[in-house]
Amino acid sequence: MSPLSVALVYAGIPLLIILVLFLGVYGRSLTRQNARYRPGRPWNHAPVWYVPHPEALPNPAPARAQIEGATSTTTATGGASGEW
Amino acid sequence: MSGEVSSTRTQLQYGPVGTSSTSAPFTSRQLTRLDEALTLSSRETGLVFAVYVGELKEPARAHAEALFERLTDDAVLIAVSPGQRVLHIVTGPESSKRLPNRACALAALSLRASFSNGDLVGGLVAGLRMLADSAGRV
Repeated sequence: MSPLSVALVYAGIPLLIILVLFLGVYGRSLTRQNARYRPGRPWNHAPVWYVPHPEALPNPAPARAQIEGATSTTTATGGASGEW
Repeated sequence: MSGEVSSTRTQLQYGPVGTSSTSAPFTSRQLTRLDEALTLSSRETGLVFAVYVGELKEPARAHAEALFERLTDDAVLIAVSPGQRVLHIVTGPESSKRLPNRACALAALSLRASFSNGDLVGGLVAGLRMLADSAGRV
């Protein structure tokens, strides 16, 4: 066997296996950036609203339009607060 | 696929977009869970549940109430500011009849527990379920 084929068999194949296992384990998390929130870290995202689908509402109030156009339609009367 | 639906249909960007990081705070799977919880609790109770995730200007309660005023009488707003580590649940004239402050405080407690573990979406989903259970069916 030539030195080149020895190197390929004894170093190349193990490296290939290691690479395949590494990609199998960490591949997905390498491509997808993890936006996991950790308490105490700053939150560098733009403010976001989430509202239910209009079809789910019994009287399909245009919640989206109300959020986007900043007009007062009601007043707050109750609720609760918390900190963590 | 379903994440796309929820992001186009329910993710409303509000305010100055792009001043800081524009990357979405949640993954598409998380968005789907949140979307499902919002839709189910709104359908069950007939109340309009809305979630706001972002900075609240001081005083935070006043800002949350100002945000709420854009919704309707039968709306319930959960405003969360992960950076400031505060959350506010706001109810209106109609929704407060179904959800007394005590029920909101209980839900806030459950939200806090999840948030302090870093689980924003899990907390929101559990909190929405609690609020929907307390409000009862239509």
